[in-house]
Amino acid sequence: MISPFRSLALLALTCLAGLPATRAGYRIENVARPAEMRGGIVALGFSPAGTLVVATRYGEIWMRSTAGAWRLFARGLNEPLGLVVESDRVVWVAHRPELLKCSDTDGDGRAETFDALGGQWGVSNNYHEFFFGLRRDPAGNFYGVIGLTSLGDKLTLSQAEVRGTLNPTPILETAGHIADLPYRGWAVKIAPDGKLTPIATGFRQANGVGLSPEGELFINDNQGEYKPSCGLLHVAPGDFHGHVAGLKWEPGFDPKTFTTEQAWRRYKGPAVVFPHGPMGVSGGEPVWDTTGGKFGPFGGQVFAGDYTRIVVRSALEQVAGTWQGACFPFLGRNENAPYATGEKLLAGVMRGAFAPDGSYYLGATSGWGAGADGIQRVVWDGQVSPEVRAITITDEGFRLTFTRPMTAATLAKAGNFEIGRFRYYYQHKYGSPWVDETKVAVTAARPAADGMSVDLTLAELEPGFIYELSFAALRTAGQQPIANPLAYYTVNRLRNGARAVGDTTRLPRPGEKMPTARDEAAVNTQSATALVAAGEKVYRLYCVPCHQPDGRGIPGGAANFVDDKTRLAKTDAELLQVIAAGVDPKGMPPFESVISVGQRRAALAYIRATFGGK
Amino acid sequence: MKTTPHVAQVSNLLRALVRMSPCAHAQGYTRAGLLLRSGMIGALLLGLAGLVHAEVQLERTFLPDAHASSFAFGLPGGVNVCYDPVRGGVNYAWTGGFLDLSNVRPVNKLVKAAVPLGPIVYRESGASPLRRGDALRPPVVEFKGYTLHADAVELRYTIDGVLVRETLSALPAGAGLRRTFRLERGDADAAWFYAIEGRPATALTRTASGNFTLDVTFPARAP
Repeated sequence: MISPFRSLALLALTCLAGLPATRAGYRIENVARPAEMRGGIVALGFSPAGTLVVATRYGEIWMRSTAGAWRLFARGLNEPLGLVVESDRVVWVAHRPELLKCSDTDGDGRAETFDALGGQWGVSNNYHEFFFGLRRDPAGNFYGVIGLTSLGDKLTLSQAEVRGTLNPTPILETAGHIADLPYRGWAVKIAPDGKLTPIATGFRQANGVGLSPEGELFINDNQGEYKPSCGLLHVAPGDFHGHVAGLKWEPGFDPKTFTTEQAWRRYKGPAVVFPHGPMGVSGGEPVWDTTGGKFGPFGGQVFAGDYTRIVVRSALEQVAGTWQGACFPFLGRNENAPYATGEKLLAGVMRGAFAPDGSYYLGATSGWGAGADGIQRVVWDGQVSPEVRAITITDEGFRLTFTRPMTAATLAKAGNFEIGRFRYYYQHKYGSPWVDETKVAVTAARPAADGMSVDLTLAELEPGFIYELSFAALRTAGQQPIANPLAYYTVNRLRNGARAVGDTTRLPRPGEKMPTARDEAAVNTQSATALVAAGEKVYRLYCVPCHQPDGRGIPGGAANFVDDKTRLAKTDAELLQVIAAGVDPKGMPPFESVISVGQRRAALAYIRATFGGK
Repeated sequence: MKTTPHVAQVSNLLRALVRMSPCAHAQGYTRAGLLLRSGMIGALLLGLAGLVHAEVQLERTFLPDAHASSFAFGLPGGVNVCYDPVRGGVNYAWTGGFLDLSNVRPVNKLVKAAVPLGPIVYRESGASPLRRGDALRPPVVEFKGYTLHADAVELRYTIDGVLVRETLSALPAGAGLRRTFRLERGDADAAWFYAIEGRPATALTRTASGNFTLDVTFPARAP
């Protein structure tokens, strides 16, 4: 028996060390910012000396020394959305008009010399003309993506007011974004001498640019027209990643003969799809865990924040020469506690960087309409929480590997793994419903002797589908459940090299009705209890990213059903109309083409049953 | 930041004062913001110094009558300038306060330009006015960067491939704008002109150091 004195001494030691009494896996901390800092965090990184460097939406660059002192390094930049920190005196910044080298040449702590490179793309005052970035390869080349121009911002482009030559030629159906100025919608390389090279197109608003440890370029684009969902795109020269607007700047492109089917046949989908809803709605910056184990058991994997309250973890592999892999909720969707302690994850964490000490810093901005401004730090506390660490494709199905041994009894039961697959439409409309959704039977589950992996044999395994895997029934030897029992694996290729045209999309068939009609019919014939149960799934897939599992929404953004009783005081008809049509201009997007009438009814039934209202 | 000793002293003092002002962050360093937070000492200093910025103010944003991502500079001395890096020139200058940015902060989606907080006292338009060799031929301009000094800003750009370093500073008492053009290469034999649309071109005369200086004097304001 431990004496009271010894217990008190241990408690005191724990408190002195600043450690929580219970280790859970990850601890989220808020990082204090100077009161003078203006705008949300839209870029962050670390210098070789360990100085934290952040950029704000309002054009400021701040530095925090390893001793914790903040100083303003630069200001007046035009929406700096990415940075590469060369040293405590030189920071490269991706802002709207160009790549900017900010230098403190006299050593007073403030940059005074700014050199512009690569600004050969077109720029207008349109809100959405972002320049996303920024990464630098070992040869000194920089990589970024030039965002499209939005048609929804009530600005008309005039040659007298823009940089670059306007080309108003329409490409296929009118969509929400255009590329009437050079290289809008392109990923670009900027050489050290400033030479700009467009390397690939098809991007919409690619709010996350990353280089893997192998030097491969991955870009997280945002869902929208020609973009069924966010996801981690592997980008190689000449690629076309879906949005047709930027194609007009491709040498030899002929808009007169171009068809949607041609676009679809060229389409290279994400290496890993982040399904819209369960894996966020607007993806952020991908960063690789190269901490050598300081951040826990996910070394080599990719982490990306989101506009909503989630950080997605992704495990990549190369299959027959093609990058693909799995994604998992990492923070913000933890269904089984304990997993993370400390502060609640901020909404709008779209930038990330690993610190020299192995902690993961997140920058959040409310500047895209909701969420919060702030910096958070995620620290691994040494506890390995039970998770599926990675999923790899096999000839018969998937191999799941775990962070901790799982009991053979739960692993060996095929019924403990629920698997389904789906794909998306490739279309000019915003997003896509899940189409061709099918359950896939697990015909065998063969656990490894050490309980650290299991091989699943599936009744069918097809390229061109996203596989949803649920495994809530798995338990560790101590009967602990999996912290995040949900994953998605994007099958672009089978191990034999088979690949589908259009990757994980297909074209809508002429006259095709909503593919969820089957779901609608099922929902319509079920009892009220079944309706609520069906609605729970719809809510989890489509509503949770903004309205949150607890229904409390996002401050400044999605409605809080719990504390604001007026939100659900409307009639069913009124609320169903809101779900279908959305709330213009900055609020909820329309779900009419995404989920069926029956699914909308089910979601509302679940919301009413769970959060109250009429 | 490159400073001269006397300028640095004044700048540091004013900087310390204006940092207390919420308006300094929202709208540039305005007289109203300083008076609100800095009290009588600040007001006294401002009275002595005139309506000045403590250091060069800078916003690169959506400005009226300028290409996208143009510069607004607030120069110590009470002179504010819109420099258009696409056109390659000063589009206009104004006196008084710096800039109201409430139109262009992200929530408003840039549907309106920022608003200069003072009267426009100088304006030019057309192609880039600095011409090499031929006053009538619009040059090819490429923006290269800028350097902030304590009381001035240096802009770097090429005119037909020749690197030009243009320094903008306020004339004494905010009476106008001094523009000094320094050529990286000697370029001794070339004739240079300043040609603003709708006005006769001016042949620029080199100073002893080989630079060109152009003073823009603002019209006197009614008492």
